[in-house]
Amino acid sequence: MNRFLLFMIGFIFISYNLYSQDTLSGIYANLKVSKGSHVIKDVIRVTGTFEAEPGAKFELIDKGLIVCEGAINIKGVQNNIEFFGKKNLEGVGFVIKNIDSNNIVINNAVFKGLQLPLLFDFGWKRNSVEISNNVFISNVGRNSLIQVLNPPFNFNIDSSYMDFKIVNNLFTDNNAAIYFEDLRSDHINIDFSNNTIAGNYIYGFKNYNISTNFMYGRADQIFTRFVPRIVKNSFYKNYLIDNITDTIAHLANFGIYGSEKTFNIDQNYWGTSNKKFIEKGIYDQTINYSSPKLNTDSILISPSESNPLFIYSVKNGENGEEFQDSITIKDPLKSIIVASNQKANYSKAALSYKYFKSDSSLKIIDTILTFNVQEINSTTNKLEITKTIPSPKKVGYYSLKNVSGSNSEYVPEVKIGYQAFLLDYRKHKLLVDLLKEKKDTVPPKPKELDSVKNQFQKIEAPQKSRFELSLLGGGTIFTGTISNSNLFNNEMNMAFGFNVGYTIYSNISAGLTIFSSKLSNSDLNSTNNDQIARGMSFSTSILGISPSLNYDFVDNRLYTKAKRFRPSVGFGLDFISFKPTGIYKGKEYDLQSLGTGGQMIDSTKKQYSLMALGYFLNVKLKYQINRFNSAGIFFMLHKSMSDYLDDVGPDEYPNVAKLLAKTKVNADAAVYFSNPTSRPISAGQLRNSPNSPKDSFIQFGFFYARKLFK
Amino acid sequence: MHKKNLYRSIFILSCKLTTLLFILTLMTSCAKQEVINELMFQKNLLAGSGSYQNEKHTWKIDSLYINGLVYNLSTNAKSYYRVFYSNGATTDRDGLNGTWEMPTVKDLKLKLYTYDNNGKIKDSIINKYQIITLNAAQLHLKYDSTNLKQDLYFISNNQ
Repeated sequence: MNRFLLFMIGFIFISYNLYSQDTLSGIYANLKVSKGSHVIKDVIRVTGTFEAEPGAKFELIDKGLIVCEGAINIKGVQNNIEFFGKKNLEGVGFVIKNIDSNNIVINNAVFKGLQLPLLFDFGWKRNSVEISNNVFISNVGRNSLIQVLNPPFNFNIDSSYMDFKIVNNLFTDNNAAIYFEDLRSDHINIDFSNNTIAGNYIYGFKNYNISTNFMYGRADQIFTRFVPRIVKNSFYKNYLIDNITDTIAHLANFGIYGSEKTFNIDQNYWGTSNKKFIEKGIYDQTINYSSPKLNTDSILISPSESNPLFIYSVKNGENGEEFQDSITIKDPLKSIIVASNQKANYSKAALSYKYFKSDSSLKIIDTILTFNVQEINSTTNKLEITKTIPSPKKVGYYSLKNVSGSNSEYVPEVKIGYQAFLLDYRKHKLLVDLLKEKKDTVPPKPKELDSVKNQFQKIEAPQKSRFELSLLGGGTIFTGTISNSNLFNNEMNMAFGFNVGYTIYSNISAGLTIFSSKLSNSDLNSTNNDQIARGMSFSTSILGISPSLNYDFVDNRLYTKAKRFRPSVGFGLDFISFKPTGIYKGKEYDLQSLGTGGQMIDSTKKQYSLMALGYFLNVKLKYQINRFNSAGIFFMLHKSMSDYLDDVGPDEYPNVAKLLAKTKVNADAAVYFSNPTSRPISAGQLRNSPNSPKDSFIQFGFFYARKLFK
Repeated sequence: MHKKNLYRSIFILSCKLTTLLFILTLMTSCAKQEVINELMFQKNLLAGSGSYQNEKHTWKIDSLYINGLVYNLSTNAKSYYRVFYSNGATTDRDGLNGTWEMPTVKDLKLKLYTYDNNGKIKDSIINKYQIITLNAAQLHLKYDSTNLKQDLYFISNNQ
């Protein structure tokens, strides 16, 4: 048993440590973030150095943003530093701003599901920037993936510059582009090399333009100092997606504009050796005569082995032909041949086939396929599909995911027939919308006010017009331990209060009541002989705060002469402050501090709290005098969770000798109040029955209410 | 115009009615707390209030001082008690009956009777005590005469 307990405690402790999250917020002079999970829900500002240790994971939620005004030092091991957004509530990313002489190093990190992972804001400046060996994946923002605006160098005068390297990174499944304000600059020496840019879907309008490419910027003749180095990158299947139709509109790799005549992007891999095909994915002078001509004379015919791992060729295993982007797949494939730039691991790979369930539905059937891997050479494999699916004769696409590298590197997903599938998706969407529209063309039956169906309608009225202030006055009768079962044989006291009401829905309103009253009663009012023999009495002032929720039988938006009487019922909670007292020899004593139930003589007991929690039910009948004024009567039944409103709880009669000995002040009063009638008692006899010990009271009276605002 | 006057009259009537009911509540809702005087309260402490199961109080001897010196009570003497009834009667362990009166909060007068063989009252003696302490647990009476000064300490014997 003990071992089990120890195990459970250990398990809870380990679980707590594993899942404990640290929320970062505010302004930091320097911020060094250790291994573990961290949450960023708002803007955090680091004026000095931001440092993330290997193993640190950052969840950026909604407005989550890291503003760095100094150095950045992010050095992970095998991409074990992660910056990721919360699904459907994605955070922003980094903003680099201000002038600082330190370096920015972002190495071996993952940026996933963010709005704008890296923004080098206008006027920023550092000594150097290195963004290397990172993975940028599935970032959802449609503005930019990395945006590099100009530093504040003097126009052509300042001789200082900075190296800006983006090398060995993997960019895949992102929705936005990398943008350099000046791709050719005298102040930033750009090195964009050895990156893999595969399977990105840049969102924009259908017309292909400069900014709807994965990488774009300006190249002006005025800058001659540096020639940006953009070499040995692999651009593979990056497309422009039409914002409106969600269909593939164009290949979208590289765009350039500016006054420069030519711009060199030689020595890169573009997914093909076909020049015509390559030109489809670049935006230059060919499309816009005022833009520079992109020089692609010397291209790589296969991707560099040193690029981050990706699959660059997918062929049909039956005929050995490369799948074209526009292929429409309706029939199941038997095998595929995949080639990657490095040796890939297919042991955990998942191959699936997805298609629409029916023509008029957007529901997608996702079938997981099994396959055998046959190695053709170190980088080429044939996947023999062993699980055949019946031909759905519907447009679908194949997806190959979870392929990894020898060091568990992430490998971009490969999709076959995706372009045709998106077109088909568009058709389905139009059809579904059309059907939905037809349904909506039947005008809905106008709803009748005050009908049962219409009871909880939202109210469009201004917030302040929903408030109503009420003044309450009436009586209170204690009906708890010390009381008569006949309500009218009990003592009645005055009650005052006020209530603030707020109309939530047409028939639902909330209220907050603050009331003050006195409760008092005596056993001698009872007709029960036991109670008479007990002979206890008390008096207490109470102050209560009671939030409530009410159901109004009449639509409270209406003001008609026919509906002047407006009943309502409700319930709520009570927070009651009380302090029972009693009179002994003409002097009033605080009963709680005397410990009349033996609380002071029994070490296992303690004094009861003078705050009681309770609940209540109320019934109101309001007469609406005019639009703003109303008056009415109310009745409230309060039940307390404490049994000590009257000081008499289910305690044993205390031993008189002990009570005298232990009570230092007013011992005689304590003895008297513990048993006011000195009734003969048997051992263990209780002052109050434990069966239904809770106290209660009722309130009733009149109220006057007024809406404060129009 | 007539309608407006009618609503105005109804409103004024409602206000009057509400005020009237409010005042009525004020008048009737004041706590009906029965306050007894101190002497009555002391009598209740000594002998009970007379309500159900509170018609008598029993006081057991705890200690005794005679002429300022403590008097060692025997085991038999320690079991002595006196019962005061709320109706004014009193009796003790040994059957010595009588009546009690409390003319002031500090004075207790006991009238004790002796009986003849036929059970008729033969004689009576009156003892006057000074009440030094009386609460729900303790009763301290002082008897002061020329030859005898007694301090009698009783404790409530109701439990």
